[in-house]
Amino acid sequence: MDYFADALVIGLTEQGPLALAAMGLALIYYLNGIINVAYAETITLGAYFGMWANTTLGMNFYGSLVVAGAVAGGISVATYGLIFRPALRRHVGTLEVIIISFGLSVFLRHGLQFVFGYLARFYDVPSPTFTSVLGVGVTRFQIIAVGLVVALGLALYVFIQRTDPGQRIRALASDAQLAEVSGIDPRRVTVLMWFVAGVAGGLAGAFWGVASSVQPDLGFSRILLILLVVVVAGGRNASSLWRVQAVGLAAGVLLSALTLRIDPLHAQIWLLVAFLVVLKARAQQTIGAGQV
Amino acid sequence: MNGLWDFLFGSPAFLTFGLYTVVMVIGLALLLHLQMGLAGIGNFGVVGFWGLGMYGFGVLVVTYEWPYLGALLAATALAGVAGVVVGWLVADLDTDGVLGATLSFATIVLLLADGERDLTGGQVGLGTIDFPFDVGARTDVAWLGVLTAIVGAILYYVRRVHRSPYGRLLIAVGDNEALATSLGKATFRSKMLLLALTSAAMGLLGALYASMSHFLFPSHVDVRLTIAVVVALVLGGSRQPLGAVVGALLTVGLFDVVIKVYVRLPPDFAEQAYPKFQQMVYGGLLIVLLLFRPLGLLGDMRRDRLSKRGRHG
Repeated sequence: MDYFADALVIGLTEQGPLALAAMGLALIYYLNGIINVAYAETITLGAYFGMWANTTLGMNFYGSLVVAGAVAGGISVATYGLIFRPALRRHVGTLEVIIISFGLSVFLRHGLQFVFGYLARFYDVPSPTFTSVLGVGVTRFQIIAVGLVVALGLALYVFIQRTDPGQRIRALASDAQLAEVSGIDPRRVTVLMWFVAGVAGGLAGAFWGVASSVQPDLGFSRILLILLVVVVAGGRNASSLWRVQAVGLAAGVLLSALTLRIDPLHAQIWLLVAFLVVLKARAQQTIGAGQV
Repeated sequence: MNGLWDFLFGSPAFLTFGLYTVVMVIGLALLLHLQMGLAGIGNFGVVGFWGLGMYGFGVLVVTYEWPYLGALLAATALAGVAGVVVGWLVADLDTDGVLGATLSFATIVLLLADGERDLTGGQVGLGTIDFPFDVGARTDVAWLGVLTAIVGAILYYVRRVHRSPYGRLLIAVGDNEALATSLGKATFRSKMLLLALTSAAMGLLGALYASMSHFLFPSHVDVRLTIAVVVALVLGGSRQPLGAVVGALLTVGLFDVVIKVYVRLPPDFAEQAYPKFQQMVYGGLLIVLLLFRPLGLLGDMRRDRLSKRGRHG
């Protein structure tokens, strides 16, 4: 029983940012059908700018979260405007968009090292006080991260399902051309979505960064897992955003359950294998249902 | 005369190693050309197959003391089997799923290289692996010759495929697999065959690299090699057999041979900033090429063959 409680608490608190980041990536996937590998660097840059606000400007961690989210949102919008929008307008194919996002990821990941250096850097925060949750010590930042995941998930749900802009987003995602002739301005809605996605990524980066260190590959070392969560759970309908959150949290719990029993490297291998099995099973299910 | 000789072959070990990298990337890009350029399989795990060959060979030779040729064949076969398994896995996935699956495969190979310390030595490294023959101080040049012969054979095979019914079937699979299947073509079987052969060849190139490198480290099998291969292919033109050759010469040839051997970089810059600068250029090249010249240098400017369904911007 203790094992399951430990796995649950550690998984939710340590991998809470995973669900947050996955929801951001899923938003872009939902709206534009793009798996954006360079989302990794949105996460990384959020962590770096948060750390910069925290250490250089002397803001406390909560203030630096605002900077991290805003800057990452801006970067996300900039990558859309400068690269992905032109690519979509030129009708670049799915495989090519993935390669472009890969290129952007490589470019940003190495470029940012000329600005921030290549060594690991750290947030300057008071050493964390641990609170016991089901017998597991967790920090306040971790609890806030989990809370944010849930809150952001709810906010997105309400926004997409219950508001006018949300309706426009759903219309745009399901049939862009029909939405456009109905008078919906796709650009504003799309920019808004890329901004929200960037904010989610930047916050995830800040929470990961404050829990350990801020490094050039902070986002890239985690993007595969984020991407798998979105590919396994995602789909281009609004309810997939919920699935992404659930799968993201479940993946975190599974990873911590594995790590409690075997070493972290093998735990990661088994988690990847589990994802591949689900991916294959889902693909065959789709074919069986004749939905190809 | 001596001056020219020194200039051309001033640092022979550097030059040989750089040329070896160029020829190896040409070989890998040719194989990826068959998978991605023709059959449309977005394999982002090239380094996984290559690394499986390299580490498979290294483990058999060093840890289990197998004979050289036996280990070479076994490592090649291992990568081929991995190609079939990954191929089966991605057979009915969309492009995003293929990306996730092939990246996962490459990551698993990297994690195994790092984690199975009893077999691979982990971060300590695995070695020493020597050349299978010794022709004196310049055995590395002879080994470069062996590699060039094998990559030449791959190029010959790729050109043959282009002129064969099998090649036309692969192009059909890449363009519209459902249509090819509906015409009664064995698309699944031909994709499996393709992945078995090309992945095995990637593994062979990895196993050969083990001798050149002498010591194997997990950092050899990280994502950088995949990027170099993809950049070479996209720059030259992913649909032409010679695209891989041109692309690799212009990217790896420039950065790992011309600049490293003939330009005197300040040591600090060469160690720290230069590799990052190289990666930045590679990343930037991918973006610019696919936006403005998607068929590469050798391809013509038309996009019609590549254009997929429209999406709003």
